[in-house]
Amino acid sequence: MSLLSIEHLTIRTGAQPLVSDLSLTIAPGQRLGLIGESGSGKSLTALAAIGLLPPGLSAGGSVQLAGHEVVGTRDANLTRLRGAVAATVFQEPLTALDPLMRVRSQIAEPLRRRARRDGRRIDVEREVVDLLGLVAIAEPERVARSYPHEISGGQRQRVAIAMALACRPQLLIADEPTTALDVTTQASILELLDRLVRERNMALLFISHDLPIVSGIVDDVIVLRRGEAVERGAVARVLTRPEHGYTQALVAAAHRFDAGLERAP
Amino acid sequence: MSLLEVEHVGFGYSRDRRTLDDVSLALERGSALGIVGESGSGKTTLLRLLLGLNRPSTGSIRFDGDRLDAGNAAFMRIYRRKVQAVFQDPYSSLDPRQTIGRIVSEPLRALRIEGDHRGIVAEALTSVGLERGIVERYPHQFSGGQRQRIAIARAIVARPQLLLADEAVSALDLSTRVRIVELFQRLATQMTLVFVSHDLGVVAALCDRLVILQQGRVVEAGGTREILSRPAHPYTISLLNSVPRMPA
Repeated sequence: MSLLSIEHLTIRTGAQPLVSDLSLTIAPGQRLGLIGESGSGKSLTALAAIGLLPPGLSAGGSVQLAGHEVVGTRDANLTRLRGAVAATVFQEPLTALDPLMRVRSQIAEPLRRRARRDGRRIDVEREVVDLLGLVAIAEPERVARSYPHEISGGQRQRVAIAMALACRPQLLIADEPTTALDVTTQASILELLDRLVRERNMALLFISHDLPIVSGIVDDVIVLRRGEAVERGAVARVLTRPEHGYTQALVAAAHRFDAGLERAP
Repeated sequence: MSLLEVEHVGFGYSRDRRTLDDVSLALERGSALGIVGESGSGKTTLLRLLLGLNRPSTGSIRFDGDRLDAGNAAFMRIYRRKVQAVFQDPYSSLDPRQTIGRIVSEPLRALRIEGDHRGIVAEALTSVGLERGIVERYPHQFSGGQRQRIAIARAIVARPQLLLADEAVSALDLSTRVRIVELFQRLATQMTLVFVSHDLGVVAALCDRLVILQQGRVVEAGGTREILSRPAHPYTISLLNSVPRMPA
């Protein structure tokens, strides 16, 4: 069974379609990338996947998380699926974290929820520190005691990843997880995501506007333009032999900025 | 004589922290200089000093041999005519209540430049690839890429010698970014350009000279080609290795 199965998804604001007739599936362990520019509907698709579309937007079609329908389901019934099946990491870790809560308490919340779900007792303090170690935070005890504003942007994104992992999801949805980060920090966060997804055998839905980043982390890719899938296939094929005119233009543009760096070692 | 000479410049917003520390660089007429650094490197602060928005606490900045004197109103009026800037966010840098014509002609009025403003504005709009007929319209009627073209038209309308750009393509989509970089490439043949960015790929496509800033210090400076093919400083090397590449 697919972890995520989207069929004929349409997202509208009023009569205006923002995503049109989008279908995709993600099997356990599969890594899928959604490539698109602003307004392509890639982030809305991620939100629709976990039933978190903002008010004013309506979804049609079907979204199933591990066989459970998301479209039209009450929020209370979705909280069980969120975390257990899919967890999300967003672009801006500063807004994803509660500024008034210490890192420890933020990670403890999903840990406790999982413990209740599994009906077992856990040593929350230890698991928080273990998780911070897992996301390669150098001083886990200190960071656990910190508020979000007291740690760096890269560390904040690591904390957000730790929160997502605390639920032991089968599918990790990452929406532009490195876009707000410096390039050297970005490289280490991508490495971390790649390793964690592999080690924990998670599936990955990776959303980005950045072609080279997507090429390094997913197997398959869908190119979105104004809410419509214009091309899909193995990422190596799509980015080396694009068929749709729009993908061809994107790939050519990305090569323009790559070309200047070709002389680099 | 270099068009711009930055000599041993230091600056701090607060007394206990130096944002820029002993920064020196020289910019020849007609060249395009990329200033590359990550957040906190001081690249935007350096640009603010070059614009005269802040004054260096140590060292000096010279333009065409004259010392930049942010407190001297007469000097700054002439300086602004010669040096203009384009910023990152095309949504916040254009006044939403002004027509495009008013926005683009603003430097002409502020600098009290005589002449046929309509004609000068039309020429600036054409040279950034926009229709001259858009002068009656408002910023909200344009996309991000078009707004950045409008901001560039405003920057070049008074025919500056030096154009300063701060992350001027970072907020744009990839396909738009390519076209705006092409526009900067064309402008760089007509004026001297300082292009501040975190994006090495964009800078490599646009600039012949490169300065790498890390925590307020210049760690490497020279020709773009030379630095990219033989980076000497460990930070430059890690920066280069961090840039994700397209599959071959």
